[in-house]
Parts: sequence; structure tokens; C-alpha cells
Amino acid sequence: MSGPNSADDAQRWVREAFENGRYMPRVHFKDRCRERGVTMTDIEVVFARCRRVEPYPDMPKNGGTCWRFFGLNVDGDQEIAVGIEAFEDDSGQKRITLCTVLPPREIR
Amino acid sequence: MKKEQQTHDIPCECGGLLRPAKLDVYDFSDYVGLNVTVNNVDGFRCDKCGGETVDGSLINMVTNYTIVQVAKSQHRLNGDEARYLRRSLHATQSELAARMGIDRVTVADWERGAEKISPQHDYILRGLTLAWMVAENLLVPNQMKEILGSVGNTVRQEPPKKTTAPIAVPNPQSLHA
Repeated sequence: MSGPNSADDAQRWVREAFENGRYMPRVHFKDRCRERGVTMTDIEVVFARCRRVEPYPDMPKNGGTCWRFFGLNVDGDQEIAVGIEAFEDDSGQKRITLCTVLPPREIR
Repeated sequence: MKKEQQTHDIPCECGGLLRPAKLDVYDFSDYVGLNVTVNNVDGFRCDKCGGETVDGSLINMVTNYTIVQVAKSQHRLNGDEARYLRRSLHATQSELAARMGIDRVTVADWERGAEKISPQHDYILRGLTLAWMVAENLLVPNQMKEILGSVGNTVRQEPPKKTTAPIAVPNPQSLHA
């Protein structure tokens, strides 16, 4: 299994996987969403309109590569960062794991 | 957003394995942004920490189902529901206001319950949301017509005062249709 090797590739990978429902939140991802007031619609918007993508220093658990996506929430008043692992599943499909949401930063 | 469910075991962050499991109840509220629970869900449970999660295809289906349920609610939209539909459109308050030809403050007032949405604006907001779903291939045009036809008179009824009642999805299989 492998994952994207560049930020541009990671963006394409994530959008394709998310749109097709080929993603899975980690067990505690929901808790992070609640704590940070972020919904899946915000996550979708971050992926669709991300401002930047950076490699994320996390240990991949599925043999992929880890990335952090930064973008505005739906309301446009907070910057959100979402940590993901992008990888190919057993059937060669692009898939992602939603690892965490970092605390939002207010936009003035 | 389509359905392509993951079926093999998946590593959990605790070091255990997430194995396919039937979850009696799964609370989607944090993902969806409204009070939504689903019974008898095909999900995953960690064999070490017992943590549970579900596949993204199911989250996408529940999200779409909820949008439709709100758009066909048989009363005028309250603030939470108006906010939910606006966010479903991926629109800020300013963007929605511009599309509806009104001031951003009016949208903000609906959402915080300071002002009731008018029947006309309620109908337009539902229409915009359903049209977006048709454009995204999440709904067929006939369903949109049917829903808008069914709410034509009910938008004149007063909105419920407080938060929307819980939306229960009784049978996840019904979402696959």
C-alpha cells in the first residue's frame, strides 16, 4: 500500500476519496469534532477549498502518507486543520483515514 | 457522495484492530450538526479499546438524508434548521444573503432566533438546498419537485421555538435507496 507523495497529489486523493465515501474517522475523531465545534460539512469544505496542505508528522497505520489540510470552515470565520492518512486499500482504491481536527483559529 | 464501504479489519489508534460490528445506536450529531441518531448500524468496534466508528459512506448518506428531512419538515424553518440548510449549501451568511438578495444581518437574525424567516425566504432556502442536491446528483429533479410541492403551504406555519427535534434514522438500509 502507498499514499500520495506531494501536496497536490494529496489534495486530489482526498477529494476523490471523500466524495466517494471512501474514508473512515478514527475512533476519537468524533470527540475532536465535538470539542472543536466542527462538523463533517466543515471538513468537506476544508478539503474542497483548502488553503494549504503540509506533510503531517504522524505514524501511518495503513502504509500510506500523512497530511494536514488547512482551510476555512463553512462560516468562513475560523481556520481549521485536519490531519489525515491517505493510502490505497487492498483493492487499490484511494482511501483516507480522518485522524484529528486541530483547534480552530479565529479569522478576524 | 457515493457509497463504497470498507470491509476489511483496520488498525485502531490504540494498537487494536477495528472489526466489523453491528452497533445498536450510533450518534451522528457531532458529524451532522443536528441531533441525529441511527439504530442498528453496520460499523466497526476496536477489539482492544472498544471504541466505535463508522464508514464515511454511511456518514455521507446520513448527512444527505438529514438535509432532505429538514427540507421537507412540515413547519416553517427555525433558526437551527435555517443555519443547517445554509451550511449544507457550503455558503457563509454573506454568500446566502447575496444569493437571496437580502442583508447578511437578516440571515444572522434568523439563525439566532431574533427574527422569524418569512414563508417566501423559507421556501427559497429549501429550493436552493434541494437544487444543489440535484446538481450534485444526490437527488433527482422529481424528488425535488415533490418535496417543494409538499411544503408549499406548511412554510406558513409558525416555526418551532427551540432546537429541532431529534432525527432518528430507523433503518440504515433505507438510506441506500
